[in-house]
Amino acid sequence: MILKVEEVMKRFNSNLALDCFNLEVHKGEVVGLLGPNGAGKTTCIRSIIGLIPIDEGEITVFGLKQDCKNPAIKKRIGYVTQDITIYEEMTAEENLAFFGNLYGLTKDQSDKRIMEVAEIIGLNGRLNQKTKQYSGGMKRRLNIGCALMHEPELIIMDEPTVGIDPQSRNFILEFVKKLAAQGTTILYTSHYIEEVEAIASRIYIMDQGHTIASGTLPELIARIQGDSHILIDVRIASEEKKKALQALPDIKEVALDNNRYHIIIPGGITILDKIIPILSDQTIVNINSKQPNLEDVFLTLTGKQLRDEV
Amino acid sequence: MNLYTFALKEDCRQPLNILLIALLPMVLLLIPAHPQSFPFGLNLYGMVMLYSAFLLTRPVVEDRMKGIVVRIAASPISHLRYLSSHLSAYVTLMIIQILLFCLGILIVHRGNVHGYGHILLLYISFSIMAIAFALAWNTLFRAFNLSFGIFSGVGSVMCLISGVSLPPFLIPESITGYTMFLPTYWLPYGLDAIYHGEASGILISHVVLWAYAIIFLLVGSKRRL
Repeated sequence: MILKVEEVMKRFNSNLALDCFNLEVHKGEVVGLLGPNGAGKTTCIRSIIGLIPIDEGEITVFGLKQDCKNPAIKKRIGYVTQDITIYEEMTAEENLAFFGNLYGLTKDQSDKRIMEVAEIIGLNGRLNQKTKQYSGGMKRRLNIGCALMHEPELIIMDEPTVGIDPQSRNFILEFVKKLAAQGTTILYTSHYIEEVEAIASRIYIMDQGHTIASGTLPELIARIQGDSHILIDVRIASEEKKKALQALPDIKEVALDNNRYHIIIPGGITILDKIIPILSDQTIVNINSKQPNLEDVFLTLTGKQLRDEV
Repeated sequence: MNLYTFALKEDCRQPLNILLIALLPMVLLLIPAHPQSFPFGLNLYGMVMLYSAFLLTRPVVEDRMKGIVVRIAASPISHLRYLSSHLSAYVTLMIIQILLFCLGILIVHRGNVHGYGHILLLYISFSIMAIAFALAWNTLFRAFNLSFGIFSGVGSVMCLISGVSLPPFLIPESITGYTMFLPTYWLPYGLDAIYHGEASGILISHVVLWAYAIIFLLVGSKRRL
């Protein structure tokens, strides 16, 4: 096992950021950590890397106890930060060389690796350009490249696609898949469900500092297999109607997404005759039912639409 | 490129830094000599050192602002090594500035100044204190521009009332008793001691400047991420 997080507690003053949090990552896996903003994903990552000490519990990385004083652990991890943390006044090559140097790469090793990484992140040919002239997507790719310089055994990616165009996002996801195919272990955090669905072999869903579900995508969906997901679009939705729907017997969960109600019902749509009168004065535009996906799992387990939190 | 070289290069990329380091101090040499003390430009240079130190430490604040320090903290490099490499680079640049200024004194004020070695050492002690002060000050802020904006006011007042930018005889007596608590006070004090050849005064100014430097370094190095 590459990483084991056991019953970890972390407080910031009175705020409990991690609450008996558990996580396991095996060699060669891509583990997706899914949760809304403020769920504790970044705290979890920083604890794993040893940037912040934990209050209780234990974190073991590569079989070594993480006590924030162990550079041997840090040397084997590549950390892709949520913010773009590169030097904009420097060229891409200088950035890659600098971050490689932090991990003890010699000049020869660094020069060789820069060419390899540039190829992987698709920036060869633009290495001598100052990064302030780069587009957002290119900066994101370089941000990832800097974490690859020392060929880490475990790559931790903290929401690496925030604020970029769809093309760059696809490039990053494809690139993560390639890394995974080469056997690199990856812990990938995101609040984009479709990203985690696309790349993760196992998924952890966290909210308010603790794991609320984990497993492969089919395992998670199987948890709500008997449920139906109804989508009702209205002209102007309201919180009052949402509460009224929630109060109906047999309704598992209701969430509001702009003017769309997401309703999870156990055992089919026989309750529609009770739902429609409640929404009759809101002008129903469309009614749909769909097979459950990871988004529905999240909604059922947390009572929240992940997108609402973004 | 190690951290020290990197920090040197990072500072030298800023044209303002080059201007401040190489040219601005030279203007102070034009201030004429005074019959009962060193030329006032030697005192005023303290203010240039204070602001130079502040601008030189900018990369440390920006690393924190942009989150780069988080990435550095995630690497096997210790915070102590990161900070010491940067601070050593800033001290190097300050020493270059001091050497250039002292060379200028030697050329322009040859007959009016004595104790060059003592002046050089006093400036070095003051510059280290100034860098430590800038580091500690910057821990209070998340944005460099805000930090610099407030520092400009506070630094000017400190220099004014402690005799760095205003001749000491012009400072009201009611406040002179308190100004000794300002770190900037000990530069004009030390220069005066060098002028009068008072060894104890020179020693005291060094001791106090180093004491302040240590305190500021401890405060400034506490904030990491």
